[in-house]
Amino acid sequence: MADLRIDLAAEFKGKKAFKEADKSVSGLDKAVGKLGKQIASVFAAQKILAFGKASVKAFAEDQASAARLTKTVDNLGLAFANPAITQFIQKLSMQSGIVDETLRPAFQGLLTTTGDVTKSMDLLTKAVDISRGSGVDLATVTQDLANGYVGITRGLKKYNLGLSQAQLKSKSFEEIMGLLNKQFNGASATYLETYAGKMAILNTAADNAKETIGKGLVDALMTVGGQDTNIQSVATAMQNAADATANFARGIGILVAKITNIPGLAQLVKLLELSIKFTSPASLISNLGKPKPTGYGDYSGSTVDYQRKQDEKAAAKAKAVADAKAAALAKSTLKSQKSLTDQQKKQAALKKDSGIFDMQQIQLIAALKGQLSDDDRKRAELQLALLNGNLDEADKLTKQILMAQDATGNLYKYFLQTPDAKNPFGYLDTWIKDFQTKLNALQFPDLSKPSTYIGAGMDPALAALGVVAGYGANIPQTGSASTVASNAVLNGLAGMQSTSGFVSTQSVTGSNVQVYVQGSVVTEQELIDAIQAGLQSNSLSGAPSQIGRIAGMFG
Amino acid sequence: MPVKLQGAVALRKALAIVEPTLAKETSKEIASFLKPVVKQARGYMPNNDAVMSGWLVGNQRGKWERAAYDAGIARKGITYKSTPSRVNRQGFSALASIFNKSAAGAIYETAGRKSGQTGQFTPRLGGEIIGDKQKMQGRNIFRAFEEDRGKAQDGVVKAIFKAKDKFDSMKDKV
Repeated sequence: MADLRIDLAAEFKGKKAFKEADKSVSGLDKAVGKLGKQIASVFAAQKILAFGKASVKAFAEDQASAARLTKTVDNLGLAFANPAITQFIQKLSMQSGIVDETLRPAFQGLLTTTGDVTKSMDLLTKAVDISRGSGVDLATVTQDLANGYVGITRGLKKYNLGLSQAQLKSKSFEEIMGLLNKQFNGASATYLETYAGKMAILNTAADNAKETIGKGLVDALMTVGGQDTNIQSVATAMQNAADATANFARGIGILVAKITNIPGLAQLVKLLELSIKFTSPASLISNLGKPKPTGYGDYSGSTVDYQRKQDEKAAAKAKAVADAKAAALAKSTLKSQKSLTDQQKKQAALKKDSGIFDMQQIQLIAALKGQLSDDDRKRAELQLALLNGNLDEADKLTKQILMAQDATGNLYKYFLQTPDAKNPFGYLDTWIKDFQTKLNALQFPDLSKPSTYIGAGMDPALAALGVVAGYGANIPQTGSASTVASNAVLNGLAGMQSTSGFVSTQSVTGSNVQVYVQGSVVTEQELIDAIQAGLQSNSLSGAPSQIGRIAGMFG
Repeated sequence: MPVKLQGAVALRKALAIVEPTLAKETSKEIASFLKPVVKQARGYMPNNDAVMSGWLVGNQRGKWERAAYDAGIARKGITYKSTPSRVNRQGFSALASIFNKSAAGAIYETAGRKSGQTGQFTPRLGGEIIGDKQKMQGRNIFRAFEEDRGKAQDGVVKAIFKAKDKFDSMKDKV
């Protein structure tokens, strides 16, 4: 049943579209991959087919030339020499780097001219040298030699033997061969020492291999197609074989890829590759080809070199150790930094989380969710912003609140101009610093040394008497001079507070006078009593007196 | 065709987590726009005595029994949903929907909208098929929606935008 519904608003999530796009891309990718594989397989099959065709062609040409030579030898009545000729051609081909398809016609030409197998072999060997030495192709050389054998020496002029045409005609073939041998002897061997000569040998070997493969292929295809099949069926069989070979090669590739993708096998494959590298024939040949060291290690063998190598080894080892230490240190540092960063992150997160449980915030948020007037809401929001450190929001809300209170904006301006409130206890800092400075500046007297007496300000009258007032302990005593204790100051209240009084000494020449103040006034009541007694005494004596209101008594 | 809003589902989810109160308010507001349409659609559902007696519950047997008509069930089947739906095959998620869920209600809703007033059943149903296109035509919810003239749709969209603005302002403040 259809889903009866009306969607009033919807959001496109794009799931289907993305899936479809993904599917399309995947499909295209697969298709391209398949096409690539097919193209690769077609190319691989074509290569194999081309190689197979070339091999078969080489085999056919080789077989044809061999058949021609064999027939010639047979016609000359030298059929018994066929195996020897085949062996000779094969051996010369390998030695000279000239393919047997070239050697056979050359040998055939010489053999038909000379009619002697041994002579032809000798001439062909020399022709190879002449060809390598003069740069003239072997077929031309053998033709020239064959012509020269029968007295036609015109073609021999090109080898620059230093003989005129007439001289060449006058010389016998043996003499001419002697000159040629003298001039070009060993040219082939020298050529084969060069890289070009070696490449020629390799090409020859490859050609022979191709012929062998071609023979094998033809045999196989004949076997597959039937002994009496025509060339078309053989070609079809070749195509099928090439396809099968290509599929086999591709299958090997896929198998290797699958094996490599198996988890854990990648290391095993690497190990196998490593072991194969170490044990491969190419590696062994390469090792054999390396020049053998004559001394210690890879060096020339002198002890100096050995010592140098040892030093280098030690330096490399030390460097490796240092590098390892540096790497470990760097790793440790990185780890600690990471740990620190993690801790900081955790703390930040914790702080953020703790904000949730901040009662002030909770109360403010709860208040904000409730019914509030605009003014109160703004104030609550301002508090929340201040708690969260949101300065921009706080400034904005402050302005709004102030503007709400005074639409003219003067209040906000006044707020902006208001200086920062002073610290009421700011003076304490100054005072403490000042006190500390003074305390540091104090100099304590050294009691172990006599201090210098500094005279105080004195009444000139007393000073005239020779009174020296002060508290110094080192007032000089002059003989038995009388000590005078007292002056106007010393007879004051301070004197009354002391049971023994202040003793001031004065140096008087000739006699010592000692004054002692008797009695004492220790408490306030004693002082009052003394004053009362004095006042009563004055009153009784008729002297005017004053009334002490505080004491409530009449004097 | 419904209005397309991008990000509305995410907004509703965020509201449900961060501001449940606001989410509930939004749902209520959306519902307030959907309820009149639903009420109107239910009103277009005929009473039991107005439909063919053979279609009524109790008179149908077999495979048609589940599609038998009962006015109460059919009316209850017309509902609304103010929360986001699952994503459909076309990749859309509906933010608010009106349904006609019951089988009999669906039959009454849609009978004849494709083939016309033919046969013995459809011409006797009564009602009026109203709607823009065939897929949006019907006797109940589609008719009520059409007669609502987009007020519900506009209201839903406005409610979502209103919730978005509120959420943004709260987000900025905290």
